[in-house]
Amino acid sequence: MFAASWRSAMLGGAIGRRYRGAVSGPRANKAPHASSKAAVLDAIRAAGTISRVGLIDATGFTAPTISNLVRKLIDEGLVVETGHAESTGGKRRVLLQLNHAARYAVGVHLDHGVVTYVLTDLAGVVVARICRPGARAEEPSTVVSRIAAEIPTLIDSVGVDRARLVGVGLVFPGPLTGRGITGTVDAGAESESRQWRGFPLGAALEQTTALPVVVDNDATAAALGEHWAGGFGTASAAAALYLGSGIGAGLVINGITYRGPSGNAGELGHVCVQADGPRCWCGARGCVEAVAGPATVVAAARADPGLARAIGLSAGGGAAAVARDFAAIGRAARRGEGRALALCEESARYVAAAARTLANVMDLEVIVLTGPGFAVAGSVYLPVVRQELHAVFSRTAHPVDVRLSRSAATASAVGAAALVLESELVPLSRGLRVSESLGGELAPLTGSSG
Amino acid sequence: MSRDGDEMSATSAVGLVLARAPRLLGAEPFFMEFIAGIEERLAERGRSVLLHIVADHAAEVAAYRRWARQRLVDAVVLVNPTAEDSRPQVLHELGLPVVVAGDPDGDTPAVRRDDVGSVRAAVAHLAGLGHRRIARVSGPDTLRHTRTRTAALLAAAGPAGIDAVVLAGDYSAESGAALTARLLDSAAPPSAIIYDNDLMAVAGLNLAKELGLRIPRDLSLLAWDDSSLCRLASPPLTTMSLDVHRFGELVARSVLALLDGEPVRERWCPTETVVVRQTTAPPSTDLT
Repeated sequence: MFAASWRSAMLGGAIGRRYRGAVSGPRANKAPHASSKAAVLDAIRAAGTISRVGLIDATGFTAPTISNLVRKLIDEGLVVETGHAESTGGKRRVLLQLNHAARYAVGVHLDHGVVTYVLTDLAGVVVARICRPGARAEEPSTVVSRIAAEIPTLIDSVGVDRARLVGVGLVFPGPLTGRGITGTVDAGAESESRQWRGFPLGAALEQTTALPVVVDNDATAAALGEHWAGGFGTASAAAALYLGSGIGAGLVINGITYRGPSGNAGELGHVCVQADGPRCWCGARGCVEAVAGPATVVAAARADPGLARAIGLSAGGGAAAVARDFAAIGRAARRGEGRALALCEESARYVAAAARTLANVMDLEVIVLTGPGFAVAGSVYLPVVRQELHAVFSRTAHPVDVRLSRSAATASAVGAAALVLESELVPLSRGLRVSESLGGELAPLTGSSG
Repeated sequence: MSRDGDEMSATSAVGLVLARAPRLLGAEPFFMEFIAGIEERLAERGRSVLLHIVADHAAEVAAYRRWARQRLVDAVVLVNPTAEDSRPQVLHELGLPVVVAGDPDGDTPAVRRDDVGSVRAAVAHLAGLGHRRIARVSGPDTLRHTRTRTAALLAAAGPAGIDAVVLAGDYSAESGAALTARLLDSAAPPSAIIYDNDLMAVAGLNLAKELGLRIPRDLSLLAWDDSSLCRLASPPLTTMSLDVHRFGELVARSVLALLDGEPVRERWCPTETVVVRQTTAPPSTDLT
């Protein structure tokens, strides 16, 4: 949930962090950015199109400051003028927007069994995407080489000048430790875990690609991606519920992703929904991931030979097979297959209970369902979660809006790209940096969430 | 993923270019599920889908030329075939094997949707409820399947004594709302409207509700491309349902056969069926 800035480490001597977070909309006038230029660029990004007068309103800067900064952004090619706003009687206002093709970013989601790559433009809009087989039990250095080799292919496929690439966002399932990687990036390869322990994945990729690399947790990245796409609207407290091979969540509070002191905030999969429930892989009892997560749903479906045959479930092990089979169950549930629907609806009740817990703790206004699991089964889960959130404690103050993400299938990779765009182009100020005590690596555990 | 997949070179990709206006973000669920279906079959043979999203056909053709020059893809899946489509010819000249998802151009390998059968099923559903004035908000008229559906609708309507009218939209929510407004404002408004996709149907439903119409009592709505949007609409939309994942799997089979140098037979998606939810009902008497 944080990122080591190896480049600034080289320049400045100390391990620093890249920072992220953004204004939640054009009217957020206490911009948390590192520079006034970053604040203006982010306000333009969040608004889509906006006039100079609108920017004064959005940032709180004076007219001469805005005029000066906008000129700089136009000179740098990051912003373009794009026609006029509707006349309101006075002088017609020139509208500004991001020059989408000015910069590009790569987002990489290193998940169990599959690596998803996206190339986005300056606004975080996807222009290319490819999925490749996952890391399995390979040497970390091999995985880094493979990722590094894929990036130029992706850029060439779109015909983009490599000089326009700002960097790479690399995300994977948590949890994190302050010291380094403590698990492998693929479930079921326990014996291989030692070689990943402490491996500085981000630093190695940065060295191999000679590009800035930012690393983070995949559920947090999905939340940032949703924020960039405007999926949280103007909410000041919002969460992305992530259903992948496990269950996770990313929090966006006042337009900034909230990570907690160790980067482990939002581990929704390990919210307890059954005090005497089954033992979770994390060591605790009754975690929602153990009670009702995708692996549990898949195991129940596979235990029903008739259902397994009818919807073509594999007998394969590993997280990739779980993801594939969960998708098949979700599609069957959508078609109205009774047993598949019952399994998903039972899972949804527990996920909904965990979601209500999160909403109560954080006073959430918006919850967006995202990730590959919700991309397939979201329409089954959403009504159940919505119903449960009617009972949220804050209901007399405000409702909790529950929505499906429009980019659920590739949310983490899209968010990974937004992560590096943010840290390179609209960085947050030092006051909003995450704790200096954090180490530089993420620590995906075997069978972890996301 | 197969173990073999790990050893494949980074270029073992099948290309798919999606040309669409950036604002048509709602197209994503349909295409991502289609691509997931392709990927599931290709992954068994260590291949991936390279998806590229562009604004128009000129950029799409430029991408094909780039891919051929740099040998970035082994084959191409062509989506949304148009009436006078130059793309299959371009791909042929570039030596890129192609499978068309939809109505093919000449003898290009294709996986087809049964648009005629599906339109007949839609009309039969509405006619069975007693509708005699049916409108359709279609996709762009340049698309082959739009034209096929229009011809099928007119052919099915006449003999059944149904008065049918078609307005061409662009799949966006904006066009769905605007064309629904125009239809409802006409001298003889329809008692049922068919939409060619989910986004336009949901927009049409919302507009009709804003106008105070009770759905389905005052107006029946039938959407195409069943999706979460349709299932979660209020009331849930009756739709024509295609197994999009299976569509993708069929396309992958044709692609793999093509790459293996085997003869590629024409494949057909199963005919779409009406999934009855809560937006179709007999017309109210004062509107018929």
